[in-house]
Amino acid sequence: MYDSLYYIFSAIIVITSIYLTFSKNLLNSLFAVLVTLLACSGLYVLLNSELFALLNILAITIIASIMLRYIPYLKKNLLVDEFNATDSNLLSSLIISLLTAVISSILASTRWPAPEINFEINSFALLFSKYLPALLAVIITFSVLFTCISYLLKKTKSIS
Amino acid sequence: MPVGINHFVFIGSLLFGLGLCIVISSRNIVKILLGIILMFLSSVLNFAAFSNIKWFNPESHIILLVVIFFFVLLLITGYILAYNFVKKYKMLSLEPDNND
Repeated sequence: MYDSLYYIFSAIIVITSIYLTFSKNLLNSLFAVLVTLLACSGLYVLLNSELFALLNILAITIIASIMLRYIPYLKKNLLVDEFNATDSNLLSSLIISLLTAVISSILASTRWPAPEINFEINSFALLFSKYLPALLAVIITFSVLFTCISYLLKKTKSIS
Repeated sequence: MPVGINHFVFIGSLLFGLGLCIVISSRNIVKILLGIILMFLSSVLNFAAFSNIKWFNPESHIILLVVIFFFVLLLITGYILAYNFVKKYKMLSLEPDNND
C-alpha cells in the first residue's frame, strides 16, 4: 500500500512538473503547480509530516483563490509564455539535479548512528516552553501572509 | 523494490532540476515564481525524507517550519515586486523589447 501510494504520487509529480515546465500556457502551468503541491502533500503524509501536508494544502487554497479571482486578467494577458529552454539551459539544470541526487544519495546511504532521542524531553508536549520562538515565527508568518494578500487584493482591483 | 530514502531523493532532485530550468529559461515573472516554488518543494521533500524515514525527530520539524517561514517571506516579496513591475511597465516579461 505504501509503495503503491508512493508510485502514484511520484508519477503525478513527475508528469505535472514536466508539463508545468514546458507548457506555453501560463494558466495551465498554474493549475499544474496546484496538482504538484497536492501530490507533494500526499508524499508528506507518507513521510509522517502531516503538518507540512496541511501547510501545502493551505498554500493550494491561497494560490487557487488568487487565481480564481484573476482568471479573466490571466486569460487576457498571461496566456503565452516566452519560454526559451535552450540546450545549454537544459544541460546545466540536468547536471545540477544529477549532482544533487548523487550527493543526497551519498548522505542517505551512509550508515548514520541512530540518534538517542529522549521523547520525554524532546517532544511536542514541550513545544510551548522550548520551541516558543518557532511557534511565534509561524504565527508571524501567517499574519504577514494574510495581511499582504488582503493588501494586494485591495490594491490590484484596478488591474482587473 | 521497497521504497527507501533514495526514491524521495530522486523525486526531490527532479523537482529541483525542473525548477532551475524554469528559473533560468523563462522570462515571465509568474513562471519564475512557479520555478522557485518547485525548488522549494524539492528542498522540503528532501528534508522531510531525511528526518522521517529512518527515525522520527521532532526538531527537524521545527527547522522545517523556519525554512517555510523564510520561503513564505521570499514568495511574498517576489509577489509584491512582480506586482510593482506589472504596474510600472504594464507587462510581465523580463525580456527587453527588441523593437525599442
